[in-house]
Amino acid sequence: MAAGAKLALLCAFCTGLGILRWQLSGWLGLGMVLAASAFPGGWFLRLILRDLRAPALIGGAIFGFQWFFGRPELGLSIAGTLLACIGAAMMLSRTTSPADLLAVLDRWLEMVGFPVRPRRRLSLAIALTLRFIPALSGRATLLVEAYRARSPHRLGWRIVGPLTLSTLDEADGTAEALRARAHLD
Amino acid sequence: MERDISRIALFAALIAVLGLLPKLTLASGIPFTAQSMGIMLAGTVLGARKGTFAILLFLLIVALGLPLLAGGRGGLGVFVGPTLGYLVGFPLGAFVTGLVAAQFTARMSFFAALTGAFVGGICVMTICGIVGMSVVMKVSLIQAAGFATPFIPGDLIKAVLTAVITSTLWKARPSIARLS
Repeated sequence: MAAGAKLALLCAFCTGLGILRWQLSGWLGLGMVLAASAFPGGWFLRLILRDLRAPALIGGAIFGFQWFFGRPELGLSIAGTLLACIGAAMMLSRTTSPADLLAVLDRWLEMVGFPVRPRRRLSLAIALTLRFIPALSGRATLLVEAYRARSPHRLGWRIVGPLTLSTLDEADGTAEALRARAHLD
Repeated sequence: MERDISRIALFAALIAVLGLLPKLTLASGIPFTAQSMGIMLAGTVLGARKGTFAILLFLLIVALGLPLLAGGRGGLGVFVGPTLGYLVGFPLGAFVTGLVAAQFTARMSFFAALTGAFVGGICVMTICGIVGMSVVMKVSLIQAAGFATPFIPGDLIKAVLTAVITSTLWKARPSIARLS
């Protein structure tokens, strides 16, 4: 299924669950999500169930809270809806590459008449961010190791200052490189 | 323009990397991560407009499926949970942080950054978080405020750290304040 269709289906699914007032609609939705997850095989179902582990704890906390205040049905309904929506969203994320989702976003922005230049800038900004996450992560590791070599104490939050400073220096270097290549002309 | 885009992109990357740092635990047992400090820093260092764009870019990349939120969360699923209000509050908080700090003569001074981080990074983000929890969990605003309160001491520490880091950056690179 195309990424755009999956995204539209997810919107319709979550909106539908939000509108429906039937108490068990969320759990029915969750059942549908899990059944759909089982189609590619048990491995995919296990993947989605693993993704739902943390939300299940939150859902349990919501149910417990509502139960404490004498509204267990409401807690059950919220928890079911929450798990169904998160499960459906995780299914989409697991089966669609970020590049495909970005292409959908670009197409939708084009459809609503968004100009080409801002769309190019957005694509460039996303590409730069993705390029710099591992670079900055590596730099953070280097800073921690350099500090450890000189001090028996933990670096902790003090890493943020030098990391931010090096980020700004890196940004200026990147800007010069982009300008030299006339990237945005 | 190139400088703006690269700064916005690199701050989005910085916020992602701050989310990967190990979380600290306060004496009360409440954990806190450096990621929301990245939101405050985006506002104080980049200013209201560019700071907001950096956060929106970060959230867009999270929505595309990259597990960049603290705790390795990502994908569209995070936008339907009880933390939705905080995610909406991220760009608003960065905008208000930058806006408030800009009201001071020296917008990257300690007090300007502290005031901005307090108003935008704590007040605005917490209010958004409370409203979000109230809507998603169907509880009253007061009950939702009760859930958010334990995190405020950690946020206060982050606001002070943001102010310290911002003023240090300003001293190390005075040109930052002129360019942003």
